[in-house]
Amino acid sequence: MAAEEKLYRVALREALAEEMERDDSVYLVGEDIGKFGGAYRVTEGLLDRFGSQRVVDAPIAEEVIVGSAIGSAMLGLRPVVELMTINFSLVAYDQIVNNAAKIRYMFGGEAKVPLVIRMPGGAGHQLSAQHSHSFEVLYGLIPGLLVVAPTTPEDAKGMLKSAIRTDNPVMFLESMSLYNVRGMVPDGDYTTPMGTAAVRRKGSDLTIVGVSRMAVLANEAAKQLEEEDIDAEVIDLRSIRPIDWPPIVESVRRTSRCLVVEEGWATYGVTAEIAAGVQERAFDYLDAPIRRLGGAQVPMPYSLPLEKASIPTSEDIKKLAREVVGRKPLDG
Amino acid sequence: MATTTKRDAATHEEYLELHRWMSMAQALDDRMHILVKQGRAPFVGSSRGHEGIQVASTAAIGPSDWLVPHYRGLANAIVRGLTMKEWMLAVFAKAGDPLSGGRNIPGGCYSYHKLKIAPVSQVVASWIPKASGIAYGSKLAGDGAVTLCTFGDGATSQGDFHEGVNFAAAHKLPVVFVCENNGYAISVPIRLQMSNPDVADRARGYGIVGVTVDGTDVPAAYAVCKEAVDRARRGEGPTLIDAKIWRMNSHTSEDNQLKYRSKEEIADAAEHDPIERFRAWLVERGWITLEDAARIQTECDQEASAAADWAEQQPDPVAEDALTNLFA
Repeated sequence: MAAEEKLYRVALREALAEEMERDDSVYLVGEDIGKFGGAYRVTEGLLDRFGSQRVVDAPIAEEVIVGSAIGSAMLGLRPVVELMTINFSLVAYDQIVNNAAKIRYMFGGEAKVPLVIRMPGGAGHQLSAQHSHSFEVLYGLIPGLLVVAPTTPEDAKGMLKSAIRTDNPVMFLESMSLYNVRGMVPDGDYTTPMGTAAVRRKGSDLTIVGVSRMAVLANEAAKQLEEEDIDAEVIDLRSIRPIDWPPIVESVRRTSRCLVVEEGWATYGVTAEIAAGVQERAFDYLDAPIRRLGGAQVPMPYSLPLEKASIPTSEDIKKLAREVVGRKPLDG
Repeated sequence: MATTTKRDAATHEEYLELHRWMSMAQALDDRMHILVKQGRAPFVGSSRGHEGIQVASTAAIGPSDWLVPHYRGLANAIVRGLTMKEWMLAVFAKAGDPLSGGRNIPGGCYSYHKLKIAPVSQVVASWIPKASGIAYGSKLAGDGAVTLCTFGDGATSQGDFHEGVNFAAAHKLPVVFVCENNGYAISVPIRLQMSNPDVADRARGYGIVGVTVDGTDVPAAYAVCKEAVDRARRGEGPTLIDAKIWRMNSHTSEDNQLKYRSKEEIADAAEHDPIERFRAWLVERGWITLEDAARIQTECDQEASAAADWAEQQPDPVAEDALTNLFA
């Protein structure tokens, strides 16, 4: 299929526009998504194209942004919510957890909630403690939610289309650091299946599972590790809930070694879940303890050197990878 | 008891229908209390005292409109067409329970897609933004439906109340907000909840119409609700109705109101039974006799009792079904 290089944010915008074109029941609601075009310019131009009834500039009120979307979704519409950052989703956590995720179950399977909540997470832009979070785990632990974190423009577009077409609530986790990433995006209408991981690189010495942007860093690290004769396989988790176990387990059974990386706090984190699941499924194949890497366990500091010290880097990934394969540290 | 209503927004027959619905609600409420006392049901959240405003508001909307009720909305459900048997299937959490399939707490938390009743939430006020969303959906679809959203005075302290009403006001959504103001948030009296107990006064702040009504005066409440529904349907935006009522029972069967209400106050609440008041009004008009009213109540009580006995014998959900209904 023909493809063109595009920005992650443009891929998202195309997905929104094409789905709105395809299906009148799709509408957007969020803060500053109209004339302003969205805090990360994902919705730029959509107000002019689809009008203010379908591109709703909402008051600064996350509970009603999410709550009203749940209501309209029960009615059969397909709202796509943009929360300015994942941090503000905490204000709407009750609506998401106690309502969106539970309504169908609590009411005997009557209602559908075809709702997508898009929001960027992650750190690295000196936005400090209340604007720099990786909360995959907060949504990953909730039955009733589907949670995805695409890392390439191709997946961003394909998964957003899948999310919009799904009859269930989807937490669509974008990353602030990925909006300007370029990548090939297939032409025409395509979807990327929810609930699937992606093998980004084949390798034989160890399996690195990356969550959100850390999958991108893991790929960079793996390329550099080639020079040290370490052949790492990289899996982009991509779906936080449900977890796509088969490719991960198949890989670890082959490499016998596993490293899991996330940008957020690793304690009780997504990496904890992956590590536990891998040892349950591949214990007899393991030649080394599964290792985990996450961000520093502090609220994200503002100062650039402090912030850099708090986020995993590709150097950190390489260092742990060497340990997992039993190499001595380079510096002796 | 005052019967001050001047206006007649409903016909003689419609008023008698409202009366029957109230009798049904009372019968179910009383029966649930008996079941709890007998140890046959675990829990009841009573709607006694709320029936007047509930039948008035719900009768004011039509079958293609939506109801987004709070968890003390027994009479609302009956007006929408829920049967006593269906209600009792939910009370006993039976497999055939059409409200939740035995998933939700009984006696007030319900939904019924077929009857356009949106899910009741146990997190106070969290259904108000949903009501605004449903109304937004109606506006977008242009289907002409109005959403009726009910809640207690306690809910109006929540941020969700403000966000939901404000959003509906800003978008002139077809929704009617009815505060069933019984003066208590479980045990906390209204003077500790808010400085101004007149919730409708807040409407001015939102730029919408606010109306205060005696929620135990059924004809008056019906007229006010009808007007609000018509206003919503004309595209003139939401109305915030503050219906003053008295809570006649404890919050639920889990608490004892004597711990926070005096005997005198509880006796005074009993004097404001909307069913008694409406019956007196109908009798005064010569539309019903006290004997007829008593007979209707007895019929309803018998139906509620039979529905309970029947529902109790229906099959329970099977354990294997615990994981179903999570995803569409």
